Amino acid sequence: MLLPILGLIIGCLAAYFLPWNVNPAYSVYVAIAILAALDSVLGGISAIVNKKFSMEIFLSGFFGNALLAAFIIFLGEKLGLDLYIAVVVVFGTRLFQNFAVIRRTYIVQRNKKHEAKSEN
Amino acid sequence: MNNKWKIQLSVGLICMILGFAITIQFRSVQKNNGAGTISGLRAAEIQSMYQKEKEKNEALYIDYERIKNDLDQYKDAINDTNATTKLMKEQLDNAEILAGMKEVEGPGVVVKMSDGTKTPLPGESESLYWLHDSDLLLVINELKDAGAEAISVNGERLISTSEVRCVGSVLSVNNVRTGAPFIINAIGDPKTLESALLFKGGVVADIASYCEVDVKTADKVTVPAYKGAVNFKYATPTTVKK
Repeated sequence: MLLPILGLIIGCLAAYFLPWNVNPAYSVYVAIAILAALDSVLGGISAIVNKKFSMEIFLSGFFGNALLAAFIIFLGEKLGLDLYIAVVVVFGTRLFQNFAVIRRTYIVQRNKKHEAKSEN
Repeated sequence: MNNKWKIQLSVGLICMILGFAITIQFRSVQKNNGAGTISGLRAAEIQSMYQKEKEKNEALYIDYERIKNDLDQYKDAINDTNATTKLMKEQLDNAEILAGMKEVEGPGVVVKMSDGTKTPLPGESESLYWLHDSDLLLVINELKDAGAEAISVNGERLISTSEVRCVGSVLSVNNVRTGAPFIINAIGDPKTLESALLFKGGVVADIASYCEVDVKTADKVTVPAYKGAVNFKYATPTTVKK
């Protein structure tokens, strides 16, 4: 758990001390990057919890999803459609699903331990 | 062990991107706070923004007045030099009168126009008895034709870019809105101007059938200077090839 927290802090500090700001026109892309990253982190944790984590899947998932999302938003802007809503909804749903998986697995594991203890 | 490092490293990388994106977005949103996102604001906020812009505008206008005074002083300084500059000064004065940059006075007419007082007949629209931009434009055009040298409407000097246009129930001239009655000051030969307006079957006779028009000649009519700033964004003088 050390490196992820360290990475989070480094990222925050780097952005805090960098002089530039996001143009309001592009802020939707940054927002999607945030969502994609959050989705990947939660997805990664749920994979770790289920012991089926793979670095290739994890990284390709993040970059692939982010690129696809950016492309959809770009397309939406060109077509005059609010396609970013689709991206937000999909990422949002996945966030909650992944969180649900983590939650369930964790509680089931804990209950199992508890039962094993009380049986002894 | 190797796999654990991989997990830590990749999740750490994404966490770094996450932290970076969140912080930069947060900072940008705080900095841009509202700018460019009018749709998200409530009417009260827009109103206060408008108020602020208006105050800024007024401050700029004061600045403008000050700078104009400075310019006038420089011009005065030029006044007492040799003949060439005198000639140039004369040309400048003429150009300024033509462009509406100077307050001018002289003989002319004062036309007062106000909405009609007649009650509309059954089935007639009330707006038939209101003044419209077209009525004012007719009068102004007639004045120009009769040789008016300077014209103002409700204290707004008409220059080459001036509009005379209905905006809702008020009139916009030089983007300044005023309501009825409309007072048109025109400088020129009083007799010519008056007769141009008042001839039988003419403009005023026509408008007077539904609105109030009053034409008076005067020995001294004052037409104020154009109050706005002139800056041309698109038009540039073409260079003449010799």
